[in-house]
Amino acid sequence: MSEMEVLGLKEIREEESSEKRLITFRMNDELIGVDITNVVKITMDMDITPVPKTKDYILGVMNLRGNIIPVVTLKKMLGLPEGENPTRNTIIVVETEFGNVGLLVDKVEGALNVNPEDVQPPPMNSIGIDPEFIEGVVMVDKEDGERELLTILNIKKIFRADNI
Amino acid sequence: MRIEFSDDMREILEEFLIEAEEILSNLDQDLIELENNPDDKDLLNKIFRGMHTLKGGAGFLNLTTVVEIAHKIEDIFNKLRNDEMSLTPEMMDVIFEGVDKLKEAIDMLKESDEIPDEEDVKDLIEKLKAILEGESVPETRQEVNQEEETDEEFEFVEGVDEDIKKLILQYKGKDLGEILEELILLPPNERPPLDVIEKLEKLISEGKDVKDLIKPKEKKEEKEEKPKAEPPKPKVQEPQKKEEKQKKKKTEKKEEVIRVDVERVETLMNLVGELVLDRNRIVKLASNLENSYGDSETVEELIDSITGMSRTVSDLQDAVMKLRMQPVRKIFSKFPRIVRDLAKRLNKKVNLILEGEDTEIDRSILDKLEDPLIHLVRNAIDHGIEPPEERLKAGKPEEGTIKLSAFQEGDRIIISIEDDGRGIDVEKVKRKAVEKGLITPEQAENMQDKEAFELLFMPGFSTADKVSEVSGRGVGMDVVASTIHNLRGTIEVESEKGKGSKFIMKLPLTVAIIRTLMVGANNRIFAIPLYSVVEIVKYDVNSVKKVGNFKSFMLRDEVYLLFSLSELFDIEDTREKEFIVVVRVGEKNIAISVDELFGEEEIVIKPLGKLLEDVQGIAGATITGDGRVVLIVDTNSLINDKKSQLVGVL
Repeated sequence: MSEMEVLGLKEIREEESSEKRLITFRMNDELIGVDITNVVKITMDMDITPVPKTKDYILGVMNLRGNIIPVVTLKKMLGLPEGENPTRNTIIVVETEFGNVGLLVDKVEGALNVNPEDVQPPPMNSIGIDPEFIEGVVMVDKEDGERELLTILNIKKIFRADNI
Repeated sequence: MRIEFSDDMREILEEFLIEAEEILSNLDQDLIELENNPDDKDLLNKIFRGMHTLKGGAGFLNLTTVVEIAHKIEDIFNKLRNDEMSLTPEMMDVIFEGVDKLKEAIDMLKESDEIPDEEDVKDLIEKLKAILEGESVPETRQEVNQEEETDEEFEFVEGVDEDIKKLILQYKGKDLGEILEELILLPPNERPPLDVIEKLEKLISEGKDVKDLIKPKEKKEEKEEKPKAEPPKPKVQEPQKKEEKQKKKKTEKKEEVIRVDVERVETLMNLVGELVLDRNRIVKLASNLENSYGDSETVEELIDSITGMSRTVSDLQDAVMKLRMQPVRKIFSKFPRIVRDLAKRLNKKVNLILEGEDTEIDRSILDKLEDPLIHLVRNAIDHGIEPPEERLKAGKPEEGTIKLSAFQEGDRIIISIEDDGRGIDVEKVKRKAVEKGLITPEQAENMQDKEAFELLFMPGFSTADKVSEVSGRGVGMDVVASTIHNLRGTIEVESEKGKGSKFIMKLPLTVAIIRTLMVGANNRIFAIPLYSVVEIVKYDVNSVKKVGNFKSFMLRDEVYLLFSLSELFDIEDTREKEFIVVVRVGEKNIAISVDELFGEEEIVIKPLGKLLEDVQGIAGATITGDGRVVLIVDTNSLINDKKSQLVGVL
């Protein structure tokens, strides 16, 4: 903490922390975000080995830099309709209580900064996801000038021993 | 009692703990041996020295109660080795109690920087004191002894300081270093003045020792006149020489051994694992390259050098693996004591034979083996070995024998526990299993003995009519079996009623790397550990028959139950079967049909991660040469589901 007191640095840190950086992606056209600090890696077209005799949301395991990590279908985990399967598999690897876990999503949009003050508490049953797993929602600008709802997930809560 | 340690002291403490543990673990075995040969002087001296070292270290660290106990035991052994008293079984029990207390203290120190309170050890100290006082020889003889000793058999060389002379006389049989230690251990008010200690230190730093300061007395006539002048050599010098030798050995050993943090070895192991995977990948790529550009000279050279590298990687893997190996002695040495105590408590006579203690096995396996082995040995004494009267009636020697042995067979370590007790009553086992609803009476009827023994390992089974304090500790045979299976080992039972039983465990040498058979099921690849594979044959439709709800496969004269791998894993099962892999599960061979066979591969086992920790039928996964993840089949847990239905079917 002491280095934060150094002249000038303190202000910079504050400015940094005032913005929340998210990785955003699509699931059934909904815009979803997770805190970038949870994200380890984003991969495309990874080979996934199915593991028999596991829960239905477990897609299988994959090789992440020599380590084997489980991959889950986020839609199934959150109880969302399956929708159309995308042609390419996109996996966001996040850090959880259970080690690294890959989340299968439809499409990654990119990184985005939001102001925490703009984040609203989750409306009841906003897009079919249990509000317990939602950190909040925020309106963001689309490219075409329109605004749309971004749902921010709480990864730590989704992957908690009592929810698995 | 909490002890505070400064950083410097902590380092010394660490050293002390290691040394103390070593001394104490040897002690158990030595004491048992001593019980059989109470007059073995070498042994007495060894135990005495061990206690002495322990006391010294503990004193330096100010571990008061430890010093007190060690000191008393040391004194007892000093008297024993000087024939001033003799060992009785009652004394032995007290000494064991003392050793246990010391072990407890070491464990406490390790965990919480604590040692037992004065109150805790009071009784023990009193008992030890009673031995020292009560059991010692009558005073008169002691006086004679003292006289004999003060009538020195040696004299000092010229120029020895008077203070030093006094010390040498006072601490006969000890070298200067030890005398110094003794002095430091004394309470400050009894300690000689500082200049004496300084003189002593100076002598030690000059490399002098007691033997340099004394010479044997020359007047021999005087001795011959004495009736009790047996020791022809100066008494002081003999034990000392031995001690010197011992010390030399110790220092030599120290130079050859370095202690390495386990974590570093683990890291090294992981790195080698990665290297093996990379090697596999490179070898695969190289062979692709050879297929495309086989005539190129560069490719040929590349292949050559890759072959060389490949060999080196294998050697490296072996070498690193050896780093993790430890002799089974580490746990075997605990058994003489366990057997002794238990036999005594149960009023049985048991002789323990240890074999192959030098056999080495991966330390992570070794650590996990202790509990199962203890359980099996306890079982053997409690349920196996009969009481002496019963044994005599049965025409057996009064003393039962338990043999604990280990040896290496190929890439497996075989550990067995054998007793010559009453054996396992097959009918009783079956009855019990039926009672508990584990099998049906019909199944029991058709069951062979070997299969019946398997029942012992089923959860919820225990043959003891009453759960005794000894065997019933909440750990059942099922826990033993699952521990062994988790180590990718197998356990078997052989037993003959009235003759005895034998539990045989086969364990892998190492944990991280195994040889597997790569098979295909429903377009997926699975790796089956080679140790469970008995045989591989071509699938033959004509040999497959339906037996009730199951299929069976005829091979030569044997009939095996047949499953397809896909069916065992609950995955789609549409493809033609090409091969049958016969695997061994417990006492049974089972046929598993597969779609494809890809051959043998050495793989590095990786965990599936916490989320998938308990998946049935999967032991882990590996990454193949092309970077794909292949699951490793755990045949045991895979079949387990079906096991209860299977019992007695064939």
